[in-house]
Amino acid sequence: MSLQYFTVFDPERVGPGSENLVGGLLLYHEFGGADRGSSTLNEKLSRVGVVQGIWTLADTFVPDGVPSETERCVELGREVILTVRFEGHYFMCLSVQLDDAAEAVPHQFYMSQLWLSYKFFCLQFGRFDEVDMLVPRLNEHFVPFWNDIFWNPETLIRRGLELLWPNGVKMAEFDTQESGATEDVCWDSVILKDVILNETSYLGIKDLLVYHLPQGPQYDPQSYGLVRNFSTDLEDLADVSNWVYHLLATYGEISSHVLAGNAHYKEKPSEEHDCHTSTPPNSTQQESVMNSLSSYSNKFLHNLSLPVTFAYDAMQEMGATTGISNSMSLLSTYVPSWRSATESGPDSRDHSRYGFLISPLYSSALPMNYKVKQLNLNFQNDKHGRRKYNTLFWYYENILIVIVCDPTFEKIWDAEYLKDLGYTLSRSTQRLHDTVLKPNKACERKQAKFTYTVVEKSQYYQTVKSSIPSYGTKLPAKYKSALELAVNGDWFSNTDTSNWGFDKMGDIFHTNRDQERRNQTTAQQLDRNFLQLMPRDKLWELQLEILHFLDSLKRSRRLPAFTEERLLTLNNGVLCYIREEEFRLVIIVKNWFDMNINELKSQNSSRSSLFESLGKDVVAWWENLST
Amino acid sequence: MASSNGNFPDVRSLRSVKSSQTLKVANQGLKLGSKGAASPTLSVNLGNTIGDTSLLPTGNDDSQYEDNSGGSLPRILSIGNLSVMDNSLRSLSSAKRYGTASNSISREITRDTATSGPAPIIQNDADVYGTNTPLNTTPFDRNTDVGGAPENLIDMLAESIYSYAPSMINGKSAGAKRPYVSNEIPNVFSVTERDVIDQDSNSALNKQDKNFLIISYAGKPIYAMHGRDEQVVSFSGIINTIVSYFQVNNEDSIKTITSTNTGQKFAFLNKDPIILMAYSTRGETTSELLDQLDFLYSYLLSSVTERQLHKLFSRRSNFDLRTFLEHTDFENLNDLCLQITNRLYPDLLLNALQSNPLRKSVRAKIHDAILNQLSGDSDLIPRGTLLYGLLLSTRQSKLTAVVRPRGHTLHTTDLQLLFCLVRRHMESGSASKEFWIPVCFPKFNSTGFLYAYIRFLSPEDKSAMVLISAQKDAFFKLKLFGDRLWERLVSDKLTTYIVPRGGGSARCGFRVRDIPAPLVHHFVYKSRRFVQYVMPEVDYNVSGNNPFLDESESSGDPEGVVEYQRKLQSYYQQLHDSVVYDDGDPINKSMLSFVKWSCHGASVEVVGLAWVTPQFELYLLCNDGVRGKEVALRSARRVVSWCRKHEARLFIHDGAVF
Repeated sequence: MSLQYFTVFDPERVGPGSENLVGGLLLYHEFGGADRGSSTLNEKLSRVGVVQGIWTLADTFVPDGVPSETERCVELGREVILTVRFEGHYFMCLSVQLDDAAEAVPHQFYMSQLWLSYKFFCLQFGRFDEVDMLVPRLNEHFVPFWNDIFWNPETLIRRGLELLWPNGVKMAEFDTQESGATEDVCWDSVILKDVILNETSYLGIKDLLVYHLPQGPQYDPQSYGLVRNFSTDLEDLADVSNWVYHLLATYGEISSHVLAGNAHYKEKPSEEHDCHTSTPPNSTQQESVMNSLSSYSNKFLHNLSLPVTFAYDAMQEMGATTGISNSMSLLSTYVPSWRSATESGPDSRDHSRYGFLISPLYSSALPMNYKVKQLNLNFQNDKHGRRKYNTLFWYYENILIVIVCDPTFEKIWDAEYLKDLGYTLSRSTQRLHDTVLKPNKACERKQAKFTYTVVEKSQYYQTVKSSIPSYGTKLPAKYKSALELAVNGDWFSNTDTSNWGFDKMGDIFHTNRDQERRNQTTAQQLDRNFLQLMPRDKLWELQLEILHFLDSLKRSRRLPAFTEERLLTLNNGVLCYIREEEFRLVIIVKNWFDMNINELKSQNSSRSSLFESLGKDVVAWWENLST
Repeated sequence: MASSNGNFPDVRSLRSVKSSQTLKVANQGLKLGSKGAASPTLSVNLGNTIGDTSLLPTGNDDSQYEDNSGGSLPRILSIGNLSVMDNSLRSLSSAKRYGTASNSISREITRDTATSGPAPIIQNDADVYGTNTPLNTTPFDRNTDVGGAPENLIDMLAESIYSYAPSMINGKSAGAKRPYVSNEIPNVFSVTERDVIDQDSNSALNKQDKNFLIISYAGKPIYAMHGRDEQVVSFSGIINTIVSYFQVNNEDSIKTITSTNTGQKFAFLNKDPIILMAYSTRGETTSELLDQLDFLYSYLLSSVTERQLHKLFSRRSNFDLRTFLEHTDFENLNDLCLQITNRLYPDLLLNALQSNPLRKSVRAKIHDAILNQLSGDSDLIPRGTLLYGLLLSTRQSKLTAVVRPRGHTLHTTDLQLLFCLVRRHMESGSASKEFWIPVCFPKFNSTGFLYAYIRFLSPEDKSAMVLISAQKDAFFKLKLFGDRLWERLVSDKLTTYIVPRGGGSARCGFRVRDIPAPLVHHFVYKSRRFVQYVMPEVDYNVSGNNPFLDESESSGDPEGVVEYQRKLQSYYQQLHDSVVYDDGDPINKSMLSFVKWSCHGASVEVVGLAWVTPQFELYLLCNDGVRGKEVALRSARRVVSWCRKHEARLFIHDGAVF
């Protein structure tokens, strides 16, 4: 599948007369550039017109009293046109060309991505009706967003099934019994006490969103996601979370540049960037790993149009029509002000990596996006309603914290305060890291014989708990934290012993590579469930099958009061259970080849329901989850 | 009137013969079937009471406990000892909510057990149970059992359909009925309220959950299932524009428009110069809707051949096909649409035909009789005159026997169209006539007509003989051959198998309780090899009456029967959808899918099962209240085993091949 064109239009802006038709066309972007040729204005207008016709036709069949439709999918023989309607009168339309490739992405993924692109726009700029100079903003946001996907379609499937719920937040789950922390030393109580309720930042820091984002061998689908946030009335939690996940899925890392919106693909990433093909590292391969890392980093710099040289980026424009400037010239004058955390961290023996990714600690010469990221958010209990909040990003190993600050909170511009804040966060997250996320502890855990996804509706969004690994989560041989690009960067030395280097921002940092290697080794044993051992293509097949099961369930005509359960047994060993209730969806996947005789015997009880027949381990898990 | 010399000037004249100038020939063969015929082997009508269903197979311990019926005295007494009070309230509330006939069941039991007349059937059943007397009148061997033994007798008994307190059995007390599991199937789907085609009123089209539109490439409406002409015309323009746009600009055809939240699906079938569109919110797959459209298109072709169609539109692209079609065509289209949308019609869903169960030897005799007659009358109908011969019952669209040339078979769609055609003629009150109808079988040859001689054998049973020829003047030859064939079948005493004694009230199929599979409400079994399916007779529970009346007996409540059929169709559609992709391909070669619908507040639990293998497909519904997966699976295994064991009876293998 490949993208053909993307368009945004608003029929209400079409004036009388055919010459004013173009007024309704807010954005029209064709992918592939000159290679594919471009359409004339008439062709563009006719495409938009026929989509409008389709909506008109379908709307007339919608019964009275039923809320108007927001998304429609038009399937042709070799093309799918996905359309969504939002804010009552705006339409987005994405055309995708079908192909017969085995790994063709189902259009449901594109549809979710379409919604996400809108939600991310709202995060950055606000709702369409509220944005001044809408057209340039649309160009600035949507064109690079979809171009990234065009150049790197794997973005769509890296998140796996969780992408199917664009209103959902993937939650991280941990075995609480392993935390070993008592209430008084609990990691989140530190944040609550010393950050949220601290008299300096009280009401200034509105919320902290704590994410656990392990990548590579440490990837664990169960513990991946939002660990927790601290306010209960943040309506846009799902959008912020999905934005973070999207960045990670798109670029493989979250760096300052990525967060600031200055990283985009300009060409198809080469195979060496393919994070799934490499073999696990070992000590004898160190040299090649270093070489590949260097090459990889260089390529990445290029692909992300990172401004290492002024000449490269200063002239890079997305084109006159897009109005996008990705100029990064000021970076050449950058002098880092933030020191590596390893030198000042609370426990330098661990050499853990932490620090700010977006903060005012950066040079004043940098664009504002590097200092604070402004996001349009709405706290239900805030009298000001939806408005721009300053957000800072801080990380510790695989943990990312988004700090949402009130726009009037001036303390964030105080370097000392930020250092204190960083220190407090490091204390807390280290505790989280050591007690809950300790890799060695996780290794001891028994490999689960089933995987699950549970989607529950909450007040503002859906929560997604899942242990089904996403497609393409096996990262490359060289394990890298997803959050260390900003300080990891190019190595100046290829020696095994050197623990010093320059980060992407020019800062000198220190790391303990031996520790890193140890992590790699242990992390390989972190396959928490049987699906993580599955080959990539088989995992993809399984995900497609689950998608079809869900699609079929979605078509069910049952009355809303009824619960529908399905238990599907395929001859390839897949045992899939799906239950849909009014506010909850449960998916459980097992391999029935692996079920032992006792389990099968327990299935044979004539009294056992569909769910109980999945085995005692599943029932025990469910009871635990319910309590 | 068709001339005896067989000179039909053109197709138009043929069409007039079909619709209005039917051949009136005295039907002399109709009465012969009931004289001196042997007892119908396939009749399993053992009465209308619960008691008769409790006849248990001998030598099969499992079946004694798991039989789907529920009336033998020992069983009732056993159940009487169980405490199932808690469940009674649940079932009663369920019955109330869904309008089930559980009260009627109660009355029926009371009446049967209290009667002082001739030996009550329950007593007979007890005798049967006690003495292990084999059931001779049942056509099928009921000793089939492939499932495992029940692990707990009490559990299994408690899962019987009806569990009654002892006081109920003795008839001395009007104690509460306490069914643990009800053989009623509640409706868990949203359904259309009316079973009519609305082409006259001004009611908005958006009130319909399903609609079919056929328009020409010029945007002229040809047919709409719902909606007046004025309403349809405006849509025709938009549909035509949309379809043409993609055809011209993208060199592609639009297949579907799907709305996620409202569940709307529009499916398009572009058959230049005709465009067909289906609209539905019932959750069908794209493949299902396209099959339905193809079925309607095939009907159009059966009436106007493809060649004729292109010719008409090539002369004038804005030709109004409605002026060419006849009133009966629109009636037939209405009938087909109703059949597709509001009836139990697995034929399209499974792309298979239903065959009439007959003993292998009986069916072989029928086929032999046809072949012998054919060879004996070779002077009357030289080779090539008869293409296909069919004996069929249109009551449930069942095929009884087929004669065909070697190496040629009729496509399922063609046969389905033929069934509909015959049924329409039967229902239009023409059952005493014979017909000579030109009909195009689009899957056989979409460019030309074949000619069908249709002779109705029994208006009650709606059975008919159809002889198909490629020669348009072969009517009298085929009629004579048909007469002689019928006489031979009478003389061979085979007609009772084709037209069961007792007409419509006699059963020519089987009931679900004839199969030793416990707690099964209904099922559909398809043999992939023979592209045929079987299902038990539909037992519709007429509200307030005997729940075991069959369809014909419950004709006093046609609305109820239709609603029940629609309900079953919805269940089967959902079960089928659970094992196929949107394009109709199976998700896996072998697959087992359990589906359970439940409503905690209403105490409803319906378990269905879809089992697909390279050999067969089984779709099965358990009775309300069955919650165990294993119960469903065990029953499914028994159904499969039973069907495979009786494969020779249930399906037509090759037919009579000449």
